[in-house]
Amino acid sequence: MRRMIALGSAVVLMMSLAACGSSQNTASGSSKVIRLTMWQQWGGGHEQAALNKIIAEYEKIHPNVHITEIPVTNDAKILTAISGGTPPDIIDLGTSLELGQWASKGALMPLSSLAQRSHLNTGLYVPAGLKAVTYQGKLYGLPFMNFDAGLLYNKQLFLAAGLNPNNPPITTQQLQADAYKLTKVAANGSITQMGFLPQYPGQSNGQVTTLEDLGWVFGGHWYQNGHVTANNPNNVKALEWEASFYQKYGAQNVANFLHSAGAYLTSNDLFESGKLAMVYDGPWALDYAEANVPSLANNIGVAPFPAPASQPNLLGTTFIDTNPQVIPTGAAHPNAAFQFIKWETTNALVTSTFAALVYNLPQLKNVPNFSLANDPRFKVFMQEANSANAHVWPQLPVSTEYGIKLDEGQDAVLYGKTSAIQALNQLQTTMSAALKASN
Amino acid sequence: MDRKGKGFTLLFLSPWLVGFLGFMLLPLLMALYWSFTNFDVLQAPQWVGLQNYVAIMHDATFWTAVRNTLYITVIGVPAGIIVGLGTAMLLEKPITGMGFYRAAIYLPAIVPPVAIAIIWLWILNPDYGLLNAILSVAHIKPLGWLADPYLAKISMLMMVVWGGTGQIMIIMLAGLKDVPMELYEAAMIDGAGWWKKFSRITLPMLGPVIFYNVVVGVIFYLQFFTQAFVVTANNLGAPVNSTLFYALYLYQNAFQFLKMGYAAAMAWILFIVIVTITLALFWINRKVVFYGGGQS
Repeated sequence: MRRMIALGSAVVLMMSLAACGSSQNTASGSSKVIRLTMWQQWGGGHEQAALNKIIAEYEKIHPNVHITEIPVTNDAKILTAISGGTPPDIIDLGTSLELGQWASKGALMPLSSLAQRSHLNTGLYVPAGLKAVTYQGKLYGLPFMNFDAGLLYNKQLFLAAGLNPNNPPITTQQLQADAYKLTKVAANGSITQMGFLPQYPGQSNGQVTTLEDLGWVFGGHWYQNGHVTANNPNNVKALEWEASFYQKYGAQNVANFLHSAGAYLTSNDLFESGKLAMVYDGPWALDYAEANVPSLANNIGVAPFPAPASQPNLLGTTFIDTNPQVIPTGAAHPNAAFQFIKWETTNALVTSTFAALVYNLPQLKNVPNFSLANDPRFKVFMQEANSANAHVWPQLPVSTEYGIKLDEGQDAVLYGKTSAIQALNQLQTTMSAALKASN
Repeated sequence: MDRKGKGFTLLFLSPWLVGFLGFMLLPLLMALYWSFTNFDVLQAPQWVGLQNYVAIMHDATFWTAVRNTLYITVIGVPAGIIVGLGTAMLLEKPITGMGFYRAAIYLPAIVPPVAIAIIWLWILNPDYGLLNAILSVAHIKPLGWLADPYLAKISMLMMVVWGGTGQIMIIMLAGLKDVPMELYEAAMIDGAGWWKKFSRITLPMLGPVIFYNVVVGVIFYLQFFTQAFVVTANNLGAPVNSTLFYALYLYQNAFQFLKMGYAAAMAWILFIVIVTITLALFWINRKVVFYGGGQS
């Protein structure tokens, strides 16, 4: 999920966007004004302002198109509009989590033929982002602003614990050992500082749940060759590793610590408040820290997320997702809508300015003059995005249910209610049946 | 009533009638139909007979949700009435600043439930929270409240009871005012103590008021949704499904899993259960509750 803030770069965006369209030809023959509605999940604030700049620029080169954007973040509302036959022309979904499920029910328009007709070169996009908008081989959206995650660590806390701040862990074993050194427990058993807390920030940063990623980190997978693979032995290992943090300090103590967190990406969240030394999070966290806690911002190190010592090739494993720009079934002007999302997602200048503004990854392979491209910390996320270790949550008719049940199973194990193998075996049974029933 | 009178009656009733027929009865009947179908909102429903109902009976999560809901209903309804009646009795006596106290206790009733949930998230914060700060004075170890599967339901109840006390108190106060003073005077002359007066006069005379609150409370708790939805927005029912209440699970099926037929079946089961319980309460009411002016 895109979590960003603009830090005065709005002006830069405004100026640079003015240059975007100037080279494009005004290929709009008809004089009739087409009114498009776009529902977007960026919310208000700077992201909305930036989006409006993009829209204004598009309208300038396409005078017969008028686009109105409205922040709509409620899935139920979107579904109601689609089923009621009055959807907007474009939806920015914010995450691809529901894309497969919605596509399977016919809620989204397949874009393959539109793409072909308007000669869209999908080779321009970073493959992982493209994968996130593809369901059963068909394109159901265009990627915009990709996001992934890596290991962010607080160098001050590393120093205080006697660890080398320039030597972040590269194996999961080292990560755990470092994490234990970085954890402080009060006399009454309550935790005051943790080295690493697997569940934090969890879904808040766009993951399905932490276990999704840890499964991949340990070499597992969740869906393969048409089958649910929830109880893959490596997924079990990942869940056991995750649970070991809870067993060491007492599940309830860890849960209490987790629940003491203030809102994510504020100075009260666990990482920004200096109560958590290492976190699995995305590049936008750097931007927010800069705004909220400047003293911390320069002391955040970024590294690829560690891998098990036995599988060093899995270093830098991450989930990757995008903000799918989709056209819902029943949209009034699908052609005009497609022209806009094609322009929006393939224009390098729009991409580089918006990505720099919200600290997300460009969905395009080639983005000249991207101001963050040379930032050594940001680069870690860019490199991860293009590696074989960047994974997309499977796009299935039951994707959402799978994610929610995975989270429930993980919860039950972390709280010590059941074992990893039992929970994942049960998930395997439930989701295999659900997938079968949905076909 | 003549013909013209009937016409006017219907005319003036029409806003309600149209609303009831269009937005209550029709959806209710549509939901009944959908409950026998495989329906995902987006595609045409397919008739599957009783399949949804059968699946619900075999759904372990459904039963977890039922248990959670019964738990808060059985505790929440009496707790709300006891606290509401207690405050009403305290605030019945003429004391200085009574108006202020009554207003202060009623205040939460006008705060939107979402705001209440957000405030309580902070009160119940294991680290910075007010409640743990107070408990620490008594050297009680910080509790997890919403992070603890055992305490999470209690935490929800605290939120709801706190928010609902004002409403119940006002009704109870009105009821207390209606108890004839002669009864207390007669009892005093007969040498009745506080408990005798309370149990033999106040409670029986408040019977109808308490009954009303029981019915309203039961219906409210069986449909309990808002606070739980706000508090566990990111993963409904957390921790470990301990706050997955019936309406929450219904919502999850409808809008997250897109199993609208299944959710419609759940809604109808809930509807029938609520009607049955309410009828049972009315039956008990006829047997037990004393109506001073005779029962109409």
